[in-house]
Amino acid sequence: MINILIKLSENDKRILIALILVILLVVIIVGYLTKLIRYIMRKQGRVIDNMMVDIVRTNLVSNPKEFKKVAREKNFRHFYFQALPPMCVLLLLVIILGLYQIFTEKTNLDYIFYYLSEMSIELEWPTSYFFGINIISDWPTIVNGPTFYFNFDSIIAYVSLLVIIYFTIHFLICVQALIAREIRISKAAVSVFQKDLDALPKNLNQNLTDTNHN
Amino acid sequence: MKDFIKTFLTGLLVIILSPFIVVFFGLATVFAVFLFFVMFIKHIILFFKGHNMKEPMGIDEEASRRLKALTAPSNETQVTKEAPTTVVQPQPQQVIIQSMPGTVISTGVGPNGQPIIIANNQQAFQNVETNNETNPYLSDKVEDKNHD
Repeated sequence: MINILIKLSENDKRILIALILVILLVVIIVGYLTKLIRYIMRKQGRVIDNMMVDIVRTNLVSNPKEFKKVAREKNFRHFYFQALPPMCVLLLLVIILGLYQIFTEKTNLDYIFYYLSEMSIELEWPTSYFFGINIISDWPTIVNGPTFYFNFDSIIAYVSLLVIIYFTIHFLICVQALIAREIRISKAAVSVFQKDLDALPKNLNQNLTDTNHN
Repeated sequence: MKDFIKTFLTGLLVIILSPFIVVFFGLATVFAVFLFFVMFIKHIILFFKGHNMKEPMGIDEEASRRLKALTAPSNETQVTKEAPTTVVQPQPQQVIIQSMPGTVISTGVGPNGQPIIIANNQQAFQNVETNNETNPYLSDKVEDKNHD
């Protein structure tokens, strides 16, 4: 390993250090993002507590199995009402696109993909040959900029793209919340019905003896 | 530093496990879409049966009914606890009378709540006067009554 490092030129060493720093930075950013997602999911899971607290307090569920059954039903219902607006909008979009296809007698969606590809930016990344592979070594240059068109087809394509992106993200957040609540249900089903000897009062034995004597 | 290393290791673990996480999330999304349509059909069926899925479930109604039953007695006790405080009347000042042999003493409470002692004869007045030397207010009242 040391021999390989000695054989490296100054430029190679510089690239190697930059590469390690970039990897470290990416790992740290992913670590903090994971922390953030975990915090959000914990918050989303707390919804189940609000739903189940009265039921548990009044002893309507007496074991983890019943708890999971009721909590899961509530979780699914909550998800359904959460996901209803994005799904309705997406279904509406599909219907509008279908009607547009019928009225304009188009047989495919090629026109949408054409306008979306015209909207994209083409970049050229400069690379360097390092350890037998080409690695990006500088900021990219723009080869082709975005081109916008203003006709009915292009507007349909742009609006469809925005609506699909927005409501798909909304739906994915609903899915994430569904998973978070499911995790919370599994944990709560164990913790709520767990018997803890340490939680018993210290003088319980004495009280029981006194009651028996009386 | 410990926290930073922990975050770094978490990031590393997530990067390593990222393909599995993506697959899991993809499967969850497919399940969610399927679940949405199942719930949608259920919603329609319940709607035609005259129910609404937005309404609380039967178990929730039972829970709220039980909670109301649990909280009702505690409200009553609160009322009975509060009631005496509203009907409390000011008590007149208590006067302890030490009877003396051979005398007749009648006592009462004045308009300002001060004690009044009336003696029938001089002996009684003297006895009262000597017994209440430490209370000049009481002695004056007795004297006034005797003059009348």
